[in-house]
Amino acid sequence: MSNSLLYSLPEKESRVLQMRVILILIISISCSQRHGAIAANAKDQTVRALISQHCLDCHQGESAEGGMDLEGLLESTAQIEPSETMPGSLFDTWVRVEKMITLRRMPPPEESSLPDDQLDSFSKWLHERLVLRDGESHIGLTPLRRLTQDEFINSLEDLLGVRVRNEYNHLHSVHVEQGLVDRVLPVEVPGNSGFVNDSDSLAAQPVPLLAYMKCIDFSLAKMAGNPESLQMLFGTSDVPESLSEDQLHRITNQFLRRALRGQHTTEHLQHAVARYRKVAEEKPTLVAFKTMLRTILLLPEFHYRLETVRDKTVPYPVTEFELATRLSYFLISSTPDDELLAAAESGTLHDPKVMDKHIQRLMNHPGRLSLSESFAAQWIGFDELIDEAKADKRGVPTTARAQYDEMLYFFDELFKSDLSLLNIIDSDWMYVSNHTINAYGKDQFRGHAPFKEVHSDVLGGRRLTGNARRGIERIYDPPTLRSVQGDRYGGVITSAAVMTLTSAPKRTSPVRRGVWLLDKMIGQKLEAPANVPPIENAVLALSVENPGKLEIIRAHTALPGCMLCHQDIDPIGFGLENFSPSGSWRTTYQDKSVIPNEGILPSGERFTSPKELKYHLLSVYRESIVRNFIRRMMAYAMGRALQPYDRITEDTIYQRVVEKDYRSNVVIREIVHSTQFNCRQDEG
Amino acid sequence: MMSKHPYLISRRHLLRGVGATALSLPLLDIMSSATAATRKSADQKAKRLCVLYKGCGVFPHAWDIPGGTETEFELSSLLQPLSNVKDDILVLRNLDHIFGKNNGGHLVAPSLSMTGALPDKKHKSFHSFDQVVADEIGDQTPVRSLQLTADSLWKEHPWINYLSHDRDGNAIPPDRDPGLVFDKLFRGMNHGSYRNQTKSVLDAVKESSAGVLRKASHSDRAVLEQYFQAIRDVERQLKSFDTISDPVRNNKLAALDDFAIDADLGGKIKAMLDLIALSFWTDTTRVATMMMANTNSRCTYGFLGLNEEMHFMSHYVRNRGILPGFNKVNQWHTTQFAYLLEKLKSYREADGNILDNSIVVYMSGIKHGDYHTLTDVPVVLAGKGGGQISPGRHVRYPEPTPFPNLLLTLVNMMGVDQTELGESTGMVDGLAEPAGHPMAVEDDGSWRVSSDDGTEFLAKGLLLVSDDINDTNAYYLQLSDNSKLEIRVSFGVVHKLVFDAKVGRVVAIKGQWGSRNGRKVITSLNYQTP
Repeated sequence: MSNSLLYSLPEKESRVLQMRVILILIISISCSQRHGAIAANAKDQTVRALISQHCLDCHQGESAEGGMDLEGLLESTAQIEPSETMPGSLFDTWVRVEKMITLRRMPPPEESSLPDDQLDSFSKWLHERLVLRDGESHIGLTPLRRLTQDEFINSLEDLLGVRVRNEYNHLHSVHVEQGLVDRVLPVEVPGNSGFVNDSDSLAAQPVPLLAYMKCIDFSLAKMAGNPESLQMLFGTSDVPESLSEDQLHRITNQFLRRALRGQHTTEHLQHAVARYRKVAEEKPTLVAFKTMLRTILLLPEFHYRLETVRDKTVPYPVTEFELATRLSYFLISSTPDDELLAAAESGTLHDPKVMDKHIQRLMNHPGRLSLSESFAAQWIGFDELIDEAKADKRGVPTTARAQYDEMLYFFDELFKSDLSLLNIIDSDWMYVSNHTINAYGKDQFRGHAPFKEVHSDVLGGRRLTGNARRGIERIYDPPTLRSVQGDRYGGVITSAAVMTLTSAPKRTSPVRRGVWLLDKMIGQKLEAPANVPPIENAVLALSVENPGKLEIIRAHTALPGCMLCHQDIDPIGFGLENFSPSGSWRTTYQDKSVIPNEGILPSGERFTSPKELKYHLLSVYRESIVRNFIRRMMAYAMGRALQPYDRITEDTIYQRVVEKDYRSNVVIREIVHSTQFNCRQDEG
Repeated sequence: MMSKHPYLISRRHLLRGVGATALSLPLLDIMSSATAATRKSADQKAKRLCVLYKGCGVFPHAWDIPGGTETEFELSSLLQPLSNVKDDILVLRNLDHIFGKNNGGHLVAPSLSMTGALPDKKHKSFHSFDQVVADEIGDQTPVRSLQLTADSLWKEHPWINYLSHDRDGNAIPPDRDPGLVFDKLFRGMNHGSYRNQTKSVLDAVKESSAGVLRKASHSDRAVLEQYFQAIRDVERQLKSFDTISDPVRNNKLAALDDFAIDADLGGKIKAMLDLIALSFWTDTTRVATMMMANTNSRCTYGFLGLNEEMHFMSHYVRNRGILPGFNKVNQWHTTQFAYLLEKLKSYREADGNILDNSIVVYMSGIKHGDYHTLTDVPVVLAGKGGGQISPGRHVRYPEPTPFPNLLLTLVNMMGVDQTELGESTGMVDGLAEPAGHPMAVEDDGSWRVSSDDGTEFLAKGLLLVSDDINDTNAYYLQLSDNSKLEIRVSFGVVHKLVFDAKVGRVVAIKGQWGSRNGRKVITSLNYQTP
């Protein structure tokens, strides 16, 4: 494994780290440990010598190759004390250098490569300089997180006891229609973490306040007509004509506690009560109450997950309510429920056993679906299938809805039944929709018995049976679990959803598919080339008349400037050419020419079917695939892109996941128990 | 009803939106005087700025006007849809982004076009020229500026879908749903009671959260400030809606034809253009930008019988046979531009029409769809800008004329007193009155082969590109004796030399002879070193 060097620590060191994590959680003291200062200067010199020997010929001064001036970088780095946090720009540049060197993309193939011992000392130096600070692990500055639109809407629904999105089963046709809230809220842009809950990216986008107000008003109107909501908020199913001072304080306090996640103050209560009183002088109770709720739901304390700042530059545990909030938004993308708030109030949530109990509980919560709907959908990109840009008058087409659901149900099964992450690459089970099964080939599937229940089913209600089906003209049935026959399907990478996402409407793109797989599955993100590769060159160079698609691309990527990346991209993409732009199986192109199904991985393995490709992926890239999943989920849980200082935690989690058969729930549990998740850290 | 047909707003629905009183109010011609009365005389020629952007460049031969003089010329095939408004447009030629130093790529084109500066890793963008204007005059209307897009958001590189950027270079997200834009502009805020209610909620929020900033850490405070800024923005909007009386706006809306929005791309774009025209006419805003197709557009045009993605079609050299489709889409986009101009012309204002008091900019970031060239970029102005522009012409600027100079000139015309914008070096002439620039490069008699040993040669001449849609990668060097040398080099060489950027200009080349189908042609190429 080329990048294992990067992440693996000596066995002993990582044990110490694991134990440390546990200790912190139990005693809740300072989350760091002193190792003593490092003789940084001497080591800086070693790396300087290494870089000057292998890199400076090309990477020096203003005209440095690729604009990468390593001499300048070394100079600037020498100015930084080991006890200081490296400035962001320097840090980012080093991460790029590290990636190129450890992936052995640099020095370039025609130059002499870095000997193993030198690569090793470089990696150690980077670990001390980038991962540790003054010899200690840390977690970087904790950013302030704003609720995403999904989190905002989910919280509104839970706080008011209403549903404001279109109900899955109540759609008037088999198409997906967008409800009011989905239409009024602007598109959120993912940040460097790859997710829209990225705190940096949220901070750079304006707050759509008027759209929020619209959603709040819409929800409050639904609340007013819903007896269960009123019961939850007032304790009676209809609105009392007037509220006594006592009742008002009790009801308001309870709502503030839930909406502000235990962080409400007496000032909040006084302001809210005063607002109610003022409106209630002239208007009915319900109007006054709605006015009060509207104000509370617009407070910045609701929209931002503020945490108590202790101004420490080392990791320290967050409060119980803050931890409850982190857990809830990670697992169910919504505000903490009453049980979680109660646990926080009693001060027991930092106890790992209590925490485990709540993880279990929330994994049975319908909100668990957000792990598939938000985390997996944004990672895989299958949320784009039902993007409004794809909609026509009736909404999103049924095929897109079916492909979306096949992914959604797949990932929920993975989390629900605590299955191995490796299923994402290949699985002998799949969710297949009746709507699309003919396109895949009915003979490719048989029935599949349900998995042993680990967490409860939260999607069952979407399947209408018996009387519930009556009176609906055209029923859309969600996909069902099937066992995979043959060697075409299984896993996510050959799903119709992914095959469609990586194609143009009528045309497949092997390159797009290869890039997608390397980025999304293996975690190797390729930068688009600055100069567009000249395909025509390749066509002219070919001796064959009317060369095929494969021949052209192969010849083109044999050009030296292109080969570096395309040797990784293309064999994977070509291995998937049998899948049409909509994911169905084909053996010839439209012009009747036969689809070549052979490919070679960069590591040399040949394959002639998707099954073989998956097999090789799992043997050659297994560690990268698993680490990629862990990193993506950590980024989602923390609302920020991962940094080198997160590697210690990543290593710990990786080892646990390997020990426990790659089970999906182990990743979740280990993230929740990590220092990153339990602590915060402030700027110096 | 709304959920079944998300984009359909019937006339009745619309009238309900603006209040029942509107139904019985007088009609269009009477209303224009009502409007005039509400405006100060200084505002009578209120100027508006609208930018329409469609990415992915063009096939130059279909875009360029083939000849004629500054005032006497025939429209090219892509500009043909503008024939009804030919006297209202000003076609600008030979404006260069960053002086054609390199090929553009897709990612930088929108930013270059809107900010006149080249983005880099650190700065995804800068202050866009529409926002420079909005910062100056946005306060005078209820809505500072309008940002629209008809394309989807490419999440890998989101900023390519954004035209408008604030002072700090942060993108201003565009609206995508015409129905909602309509609501935003002409309902809700239009009612005094809604404004009062909103104002009181925001007051209460501010009062109740006064302690938040105090308790927050330094870095948290910077993020929270964003929320309070959003509150201030809404408050400003509430206030400026108060300045024009509700009935005046309602009157105009009542005179509208049915405002039905089809959900397909064509319907969406038409509705968005209607909204721009309407918001200019009602003086709801004076600045609008619209992305019709972004620079890496995956839009498909099924209604034109085309199933390929826009971006794919724009690479017509490497993907043979798709050029007719690309031309068809580009012509369709010009048709949309013409629709907006005709709409703006139909709204009377003072003693002219809205178009007379507007500046509409239509542009496409790059010139050659496949080579992404940044010279002689497609740009057309329309409208008289309140008397500052004399349209009905075709101006070819002498080279090199930086494109940012046009942006600088436009923001000054819009009332911003500014001397620099992006990489500008000054203002452009030729907008207010004929500039008299020559319409082509003048042959000084020096275009010839200066040395030739039978294999290698040096030559100077006017560079031309093939207009054959089946043979797009052929170039010609025209010499003073009117003979032409045929250049047959690969895509890669043209790309590397940024050669297409020199089309229509004089180049000095060093080349080697070869043959093609028995003809003597140039098969190896470089520039002469100066």
